[in-house]
Amino acid sequence: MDYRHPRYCWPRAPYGYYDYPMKKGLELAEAYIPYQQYTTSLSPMEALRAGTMFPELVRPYEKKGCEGGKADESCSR
Amino acid sequence: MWVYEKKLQYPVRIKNPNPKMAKYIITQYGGPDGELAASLRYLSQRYHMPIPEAKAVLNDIGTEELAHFEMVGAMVYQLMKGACPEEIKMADVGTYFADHDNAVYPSTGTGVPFTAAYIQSKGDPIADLHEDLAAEQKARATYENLIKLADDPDVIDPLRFLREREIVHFQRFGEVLQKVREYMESKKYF
Repeated sequence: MDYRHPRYCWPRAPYGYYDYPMKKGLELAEAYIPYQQYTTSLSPMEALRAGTMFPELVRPYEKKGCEGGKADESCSR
Repeated sequence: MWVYEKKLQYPVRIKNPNPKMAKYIITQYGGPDGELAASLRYLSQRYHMPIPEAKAVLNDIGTEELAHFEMVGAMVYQLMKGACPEEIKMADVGTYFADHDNAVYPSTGTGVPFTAAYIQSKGDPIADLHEDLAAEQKARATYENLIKLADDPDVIDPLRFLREREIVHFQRFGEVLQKVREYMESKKYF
């Protein structure tokens, strides 16, 4: 066991942090959202329906039933 | 300046009045995570962005938020239109009705009027862009809550559209954050 590995230092790095090589240019205490790469686009009608012309950004929201087993017909979350 | 198109970004055609739903939805008109706050936030912050791409994204998204403001206004109007005082009393919207009748007024559902205290324009592009990312997430969460509260497909459909736009805007602000960071980094070593 290599106790010089950063995982054994204090404060301890989050588990898994040093298991993956850091992508070049990523820094601590910064927020990152990857650049979108253009692939294909929806037709204008499909895009209006979906709310975006980019299929990779389509994230529909589905209402879920109530949790906890107390669901009745009038209840949906 | 702006060019106005006399149509909504996405159609709002609500057939059945529902004052209670109007009371829930109005927070996206004049509330803390609403569309008016969003547009004023982005349109005010754009001036002090350091690169033209960032100014342009804030300008475009701020403009689109005005179109969303208009959609949400149309939803509130259509949900209140034709509701009689008895229905309004039943739906517990009497306090709103007393002040505004069936009119659309920018406030929260509990009647707190719109205020610029909901937004910040910090002069620090990185701080402002983080606020903008958070604002999109908060608006998305609000739309999900509203979809949970709604059962009329005429109401759910535009809410669903507006929620998806928040996700797209989040992606754009994330890309701008990276561009602004790279620009500020490049200025350190010239």
